[in-house]
Amino acid sequence: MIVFKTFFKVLSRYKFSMIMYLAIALAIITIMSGFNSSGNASYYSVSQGIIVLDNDKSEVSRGLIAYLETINYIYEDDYTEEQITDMIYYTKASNYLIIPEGFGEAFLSDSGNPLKIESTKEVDTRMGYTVEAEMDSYLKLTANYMKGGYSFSEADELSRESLADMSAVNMVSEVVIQDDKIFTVFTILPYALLTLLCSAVLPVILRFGTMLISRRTGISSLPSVKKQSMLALASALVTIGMICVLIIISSLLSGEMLTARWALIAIDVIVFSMTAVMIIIALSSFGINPEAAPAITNIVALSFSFLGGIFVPIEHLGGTAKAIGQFLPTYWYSEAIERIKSGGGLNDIAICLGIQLLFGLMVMVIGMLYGRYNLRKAE
Amino acid sequence: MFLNILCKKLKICVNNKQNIFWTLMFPIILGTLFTIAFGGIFESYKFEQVKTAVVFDTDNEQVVENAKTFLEGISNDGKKLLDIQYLEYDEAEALLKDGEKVNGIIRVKEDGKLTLDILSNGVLSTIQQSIVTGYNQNVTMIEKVAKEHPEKLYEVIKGVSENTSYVLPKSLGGDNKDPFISYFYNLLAMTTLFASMHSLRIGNNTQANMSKVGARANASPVRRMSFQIAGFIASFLVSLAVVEIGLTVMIFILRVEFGGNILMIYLTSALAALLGVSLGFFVGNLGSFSLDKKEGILVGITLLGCALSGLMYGDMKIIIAEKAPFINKINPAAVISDSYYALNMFGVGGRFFETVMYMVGLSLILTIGGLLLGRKVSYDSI
Amino acid sequence: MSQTVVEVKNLVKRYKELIALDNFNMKIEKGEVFGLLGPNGSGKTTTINCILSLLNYNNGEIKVFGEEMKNTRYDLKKKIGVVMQDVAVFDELNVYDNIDYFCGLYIGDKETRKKYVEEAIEFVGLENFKKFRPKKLSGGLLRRLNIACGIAHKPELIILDEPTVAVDPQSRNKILEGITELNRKGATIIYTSHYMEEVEQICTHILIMDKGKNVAEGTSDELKRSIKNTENVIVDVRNLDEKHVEAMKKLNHVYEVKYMSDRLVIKCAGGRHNISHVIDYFADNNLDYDRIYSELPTLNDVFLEITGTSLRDQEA
Repeated sequence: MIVFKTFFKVLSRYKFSMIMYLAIALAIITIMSGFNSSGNASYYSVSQGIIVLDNDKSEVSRGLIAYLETINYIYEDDYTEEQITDMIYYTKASNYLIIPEGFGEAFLSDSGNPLKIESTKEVDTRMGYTVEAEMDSYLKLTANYMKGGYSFSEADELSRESLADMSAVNMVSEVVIQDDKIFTVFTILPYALLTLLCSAVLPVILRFGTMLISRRTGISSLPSVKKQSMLALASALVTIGMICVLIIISSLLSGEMLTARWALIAIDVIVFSMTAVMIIIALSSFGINPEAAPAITNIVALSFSFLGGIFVPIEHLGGTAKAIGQFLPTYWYSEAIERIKSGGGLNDIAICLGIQLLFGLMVMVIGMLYGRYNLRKAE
Repeated sequence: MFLNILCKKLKICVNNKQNIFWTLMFPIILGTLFTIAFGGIFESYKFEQVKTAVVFDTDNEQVVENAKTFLEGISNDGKKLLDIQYLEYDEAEALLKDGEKVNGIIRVKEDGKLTLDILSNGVLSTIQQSIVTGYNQNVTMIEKVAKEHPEKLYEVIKGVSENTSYVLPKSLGGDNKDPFISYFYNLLAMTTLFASMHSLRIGNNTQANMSKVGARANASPVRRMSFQIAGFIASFLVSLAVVEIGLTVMIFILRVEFGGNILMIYLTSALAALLGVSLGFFVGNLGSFSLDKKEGILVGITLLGCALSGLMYGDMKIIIAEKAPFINKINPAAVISDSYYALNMFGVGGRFFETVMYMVGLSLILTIGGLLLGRKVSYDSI
Repeated sequence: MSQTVVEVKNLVKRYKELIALDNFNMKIEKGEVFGLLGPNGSGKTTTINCILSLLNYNNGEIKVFGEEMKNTRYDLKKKIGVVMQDVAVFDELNVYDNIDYFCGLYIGDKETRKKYVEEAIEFVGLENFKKFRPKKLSGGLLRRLNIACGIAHKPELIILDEPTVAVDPQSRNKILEGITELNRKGATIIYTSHYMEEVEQICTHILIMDKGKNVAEGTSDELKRSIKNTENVIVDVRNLDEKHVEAMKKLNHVYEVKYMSDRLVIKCAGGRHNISHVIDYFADNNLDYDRIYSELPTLNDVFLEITGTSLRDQEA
């Protein structure tokens, strides 16, 4: 029991870093959870950010902006060139449009050689092309309606109405992809769990394993198995505590709790936590100095998160990254979330859960074997 | 005397192998993983022709011809938008469902209109939708004009067939426009800030109430300032070496393109190392906390700073720039990553010098702050 | 003419409610090995820290080499060497570099420093451990390194704060011999300890501290002479009846008798042949005993008589 109690006493030393990592994870979860639309099984256009500088301020330019605004986000503030570059670089906006003075007049006069709208975008980005295609479609259609004898306001209304008609688009997928907040929020949980475990539980186990303390406990009357099981029990309890806190906070943030898919996600979280604890046990066998915990925390948590599709969706990663990712539990955690998103049940995610556990077991066994080998070498 | 202190402080820093190992391995390991993870993402953002299957559900030759001419003629900035395969519906559907080998199926209907079958929403689908809707609306329009203003029909048909563009495409300036490179900027920022662990001990090692060697140093005839400055220089030299080695590995082995003049990138890293050391120095002199607590504070500042400057979620920096811009000015990680970014996107110029000023300014404030905090000469208790 | 090296007048140091130094006075003359003796917590280290200007104090005056000591008096600090109670060295530097670093804080000239460092290493007997890092040294060797770091620059005043705590007998003897040697070479020594045997062995002048006060001072002999107790007769005897203890109190020159744990301690004030009187008593009463011997009073007896408690009791 004394080992168990001491574990928590030593752990209290790390409360500051636990609070810190929890705060960071929550900040990321909160910000990222604000960025997704609610579930939609039908077609919708992908919105882009567009910065517009309207030097014309004519009926036509306002009509164009109003049309673009029906699909995209328009930023019309007075931005500096640097701010504009920042926004395009960080993909907040895909295009910077400058509508020249006299654009509306030239458009209405139909000279056949219209003034052009300057569109600055990152070279070759699809998002940039999409906005340009939307502009051209609207302006061409409006111009042609006007050629057909309609006034600008009539043509503008007809174009907008007809361009908004999405009836020609059919979604042929049988599965309905849900895109609710709960998925975004829970996708990030492995990062939070890994950082919390690596920054708090790992250094505590490492402290128990430092040479002098380990020797001292080794010669005590406490059987080694008992000591190890006390450590494991304490680690498990701390982890359960962390899971509960994270699940409750995430559920509150996503506004969903005790639904069928919530239960599936919770199972995924629990299985991942078990895997994470096994990783921690493996790491502790490598005789790392507890002082190195912050560096290890970041190396493990960041690499697992980036390669496992926690921060950047897996489909965006390069081929090698995807290939490596498949060997990480975070990948299979995200994959399980994806399957739940597509309406998958426990049977569909069972393989993902199994691979996570298998990874954990494998790493733990390697760690323990290494630890035993080291011990023999030392003897 | 000062040189001897500096020399020994340098030895102390260099012999702290564990610290050096981790601060060096950190950018190398994560840099390698980032290279693997982000290597292909930006390429996938770049425009490539949208693979489209076209299926004719009609035998009307005029309709087929019109649709073919329209779909094959669509271009932007001289580049064709669609990569078309003419297929039977079953073949097209198989390709669509087999990992989206085509992004969508455009079906040409009997009434001359087009429909689009897609599997999922996305930018490519939006482009296809825009094309299909545009075409259909032209058909609708022609029908409408034919009914309401038949005298104008010729002009309208002429207008539709004209390939007028209202857009003058321009591209953004800068060297490497890959937004994912900013993850490397943040990684370098984190490396320099973690390297500040070297300077964290200076404060404790010169205060009599915080360490045994501090007490001995205070009993000696050497001024506190000399220990502080020698420690600062030694930590800076070690941090500089660690950061520049990490940077060299990233540039020459991992082939990360930071963008901008390479010498200036190294210089920026040197300033970043200075900022990191100043931060560690400041926290090290902050009150009479134990080294552990100070380490916690430093790790907290580093991680929170890097999270806010976009290490985990790339767009965080721009969000902060909008919601609370002052945070980006005082957050050391944001200041460091912004200076690499400025060098890349704007070159050596006003924006870059502004970030340099921030780095130097923050370093000065933190160093002077550290010196002021650490100037206490005697203690109420030891 | 003697020269005062350290003079402490009416020094008062409070830690909140606790008075650590209570109008403490002390004067150390050049060439002395000055022993500051007292139990743990009596204020020895606080006194040293105040002398070194590491600690603020509430009242009083401290002069070193005749001048007021302040934290910024670097000229005075230059003449002082300190061996702290705790080992104060850098784990990252080896033995040579550690001594070189601390010596370098006082001696700028490289050649002189090199010579001094070598001499210090030889002085503490660490010649074979020059390249060792502190973590590789045993407790005794580490203490020796600690001393070498404090004395390498050949200071005029050396302050040693409990340098032999947790040191093996061999290293302890080496340290004590070294201190005597340093004194012989002209250094004034302040030596704090709660080991009275050490203080008695090497100190030429001893000050006994208790609860932040100077309770007695003088040479070892002077201190012993100042108390009532002149001789202790000790008898190892089993199952002694209380009536004999009472009877022995009535013997000539005996003023106190204690019987505890089969040991009878008879304290005598003056008189000669006290042991003979005790032997006679045992013979007359046909009492058996294992061993009987006589001891002169120790500093512990001095401390006991002045404060009412034993140094050793307080240690426990």
